[in-house]
Order: sequence, then C-alpha cells, then structure tokens
Amino acid sequence: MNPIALTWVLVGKDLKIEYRSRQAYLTTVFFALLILVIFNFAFDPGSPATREAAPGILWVALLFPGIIRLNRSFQVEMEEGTLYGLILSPADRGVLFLGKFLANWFLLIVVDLLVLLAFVIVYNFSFSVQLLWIALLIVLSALGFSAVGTLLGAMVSTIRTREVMLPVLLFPIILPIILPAVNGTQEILLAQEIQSLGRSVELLVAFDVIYLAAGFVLFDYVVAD
Amino acid sequence: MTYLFFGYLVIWTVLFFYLVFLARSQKRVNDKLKALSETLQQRD
Amino acid sequence: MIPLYFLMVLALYGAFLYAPTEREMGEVQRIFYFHVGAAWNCFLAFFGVFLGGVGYLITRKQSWDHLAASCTEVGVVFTTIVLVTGPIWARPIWNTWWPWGDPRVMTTMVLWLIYVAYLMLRSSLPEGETKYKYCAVFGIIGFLDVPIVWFSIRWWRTIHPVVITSSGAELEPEMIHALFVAVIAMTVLCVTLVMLRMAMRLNSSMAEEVTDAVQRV
Repeated sequence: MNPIALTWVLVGKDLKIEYRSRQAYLTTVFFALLILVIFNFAFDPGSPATREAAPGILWVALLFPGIIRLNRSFQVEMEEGTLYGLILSPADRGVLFLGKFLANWFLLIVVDLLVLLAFVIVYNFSFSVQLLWIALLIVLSALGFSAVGTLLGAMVSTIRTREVMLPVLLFPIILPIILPAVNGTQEILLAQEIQSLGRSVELLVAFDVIYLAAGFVLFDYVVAD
Repeated sequence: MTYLFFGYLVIWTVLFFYLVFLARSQKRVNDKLKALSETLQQRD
Repeated sequence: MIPLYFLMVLALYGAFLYAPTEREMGEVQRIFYFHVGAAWNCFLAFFGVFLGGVGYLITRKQSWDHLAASCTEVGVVFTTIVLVTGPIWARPIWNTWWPWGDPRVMTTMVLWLIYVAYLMLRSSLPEGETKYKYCAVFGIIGFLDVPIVWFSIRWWRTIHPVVITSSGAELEPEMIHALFVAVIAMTVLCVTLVMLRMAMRLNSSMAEEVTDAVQRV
C-alpha cells in the first residue's frame, strides 16, 4: 500500500471510532459551549469590557476541548492495546503520525467551528465575511496544536496523570501559536481597520510548518519499541 | 537600596535552596552505597 | 572549586565596589551584573538540555540523559533567579513589576514554564529507557521553541503599547569590567553545579546497578 492511501486508512479508522462513540465527542462540544456560557456569566454581559475580552474568551474555550480531544485520541488506543498493533504493523512511523495528526486536526476543526458559531451568538457579534478570517485562524492554529499535541499525547498516554500532564507540557510550547491567533481575532472583531492580520497568518503558517516537521521527525522516537 | 538588598537576598536564597536539594540527593546516594557495602559485608 | 570562590568574591567586589553607581537608576542597577550573568547561563544550560537530548537519541547512552537532566535543574534554578531579580529591578526603574510586552521578560517566563514542565514529566515517568527518550524529545522541542516564542512575542509587542524602552543605557568601562567578571563567575558556577549534579547522578545509577548485580548473585 502506498503511504498516502495508508494515511487515509488510519484517518478513516480514527474518524470511524469517533463516530461510533459520538457520545464522547458531543460531550467535548458541550463542554466548550459551557465554558463560553460560564464566561458570559462571570463578566457583565452588556459591558464594553466583556466585548473587549471576548477574543480571549473564545480562545480559552477552544483550548480546553482541544486538550480533551488529544487525551482521548491515545486513551482509546491504550485501552484496547491497539497502539502496539499499529506499531507492529509494517506502516512507517511517519505515516502513523500523519494519520493520527490528520484525524485530530479534522476533529478539532469541527469542534472549534461549532464553538465559533455559538460564540458569535452568545457574545452578540454579527455574522459577516470576517468570520471566515477567524475560521482561517482557527484552522491554522488547530494544525500546530494537533501537530505538537499528537506527539506529546503519544508520550503522556502511558503516564498515570496524563490528563493534567498534557496541558502542562503542551500549553507553554504552543504559546507562540495562541498569541498571533488571539491577536488576529481581536483585530477582526474589534479593530476599526485591519492592519496586521496578514502578519498573524504568516506567523501561524511558519510556526505550523516547524511544529509539523518537528512532530514528524520526533514521533519515530516516541513510539519506537 | 532596599530593592538592591532584596535582589541579592533572592539570588542567594535560590542558590541556597538548590544546594540543600543537592546535599539531600547526595545523602541518598550515600545511603544507597552504605546499604550496598553492608549487604556485601554480610555476604562475606 | 577554589577558582569559583575566588571568582564569586571578585564578581561581588566588582558589582558593589568597583563599578560606579548608575546616574539615573542609582544603586538598584547593581542587581544588573548578576541578573545578566544568570540570564546568559539559562540559555547555556538549556542548550545543554538540547544537546543531551540529541546525544541520547543518537547514542542511547544514559550519560547524555544525565547531562540533560542536570542542565534542566540548574537552568531552572538560574531562570528562577532571573525571573525574581527582574521584577525587583523593574519596580523602582519602570514602576512596574512585570512588563508584559517585553520579549525578553516573556520569553524567559515561557522558558521557565517549559522546563518546569520538563521536570514534572521526568518525575512522573518510571525509571527506564522510555523515560530518557521522552525527556530527550521534550527537551529538543522545548529548545526549538525558544526562538519561536521570541519571534511571536516580539511581533506581539509591536502592536501593543510599549511600556518600557530598555535600550539607551550606556555602560561605563568599569561597569563593563564588572559585568564581564560577573558573567564569567556565574558561568563557572553554572558549569560546576551541572558537573556536580551529573557526577551525583552517575554515582546514583552506578550504585543502583551494583545493588542489582549483588542481589542477583
């Protein structure tokens, strides 16, 4: 089988697992919505301060489901012992990484876009073309997030305290992704005119490439034997 | 001047605590070696 | 050891007596010498972590892991010094404890977070090859992340209000001499600590090996 077809088989496998156990996935989405609502209660809803903090709130609400998603990605494999099966299969380790990463990326984008939709409604922003730009930022940052997250998720999957270890390891590393993403969102939602959005996107793309390459190379060492 | 004093106080306390930590790990290694030599003596 | 003591005393002499008092900042500026000395050593130590990680993944020799682990500990100690002396210096000068926009301050803080996470990862994994491998991988990513964090924050700062401009401070020649001695003293201290810690780790793992061997006989 050629590597590309193999990668798709792996992605398909993960998506199928998620579809069959959609309860867990829906819970993740619900959790993200809950964060949005709680922040809405925590701040005075109508005040301009809340509006200004909104982009930050959106990204907090996007980060936590991401962590849950990544934890789950390897937890399923560990419970059934299927990770060993994958490692023993003749598939290249790089293909394994790509398969896991693409599935995580896709699943993350779906949650994130649902959260974005809810965010616009709960925080009273209007639906416009500008939302597509935020969607782009989400897609790009989810890429870097899942690239590093897949690598670290595989690492912590054997640790007893993995639920807390993953964010502790992941958040400081992916901070460079969150900064431009939050800034870009702020600019789209609040600024009068857009100046540095292009820069945000450029930075995100550059960091994504680096993280993806690092994950691809280092994954080999994480799952070996 | 107080700021300066506290600045240096911090440097030395941090280093001091690290030294305490080092001394404790050193003691652990020592204990290990002691236990080892005791088991060896019992063998003889 | 003796040169280290000598250098430390010389550095203290340089910072307190030899260097003149800064005209605008006053006495507080004397934190500067050790602050910079510690800051440079953070990067040195974390480079050691990176080196140890790469070395371990290539050779699979435990001594590389000892290097990485020792460097992380010492690096975190020095970063803590930098992070605590920084605000103490910044408060009277810039009138703020924590200048959130400054790329140096922020990068150092993120560094601290990354390597404290590294230590947590270390302590939560059971002893063995897997542990060394994982730590090596995380140490490598952490170090690769340093320039990325720097760029990200520097760009972020340009669109945020700049609280401080730290450039423009001219140093007297005596100050440069004092700084030079302090940096060397701190570097020697850093290297000495790392070597001590490595020796300790080597002894510890050797003791364990011998104990195992004895029990098997």
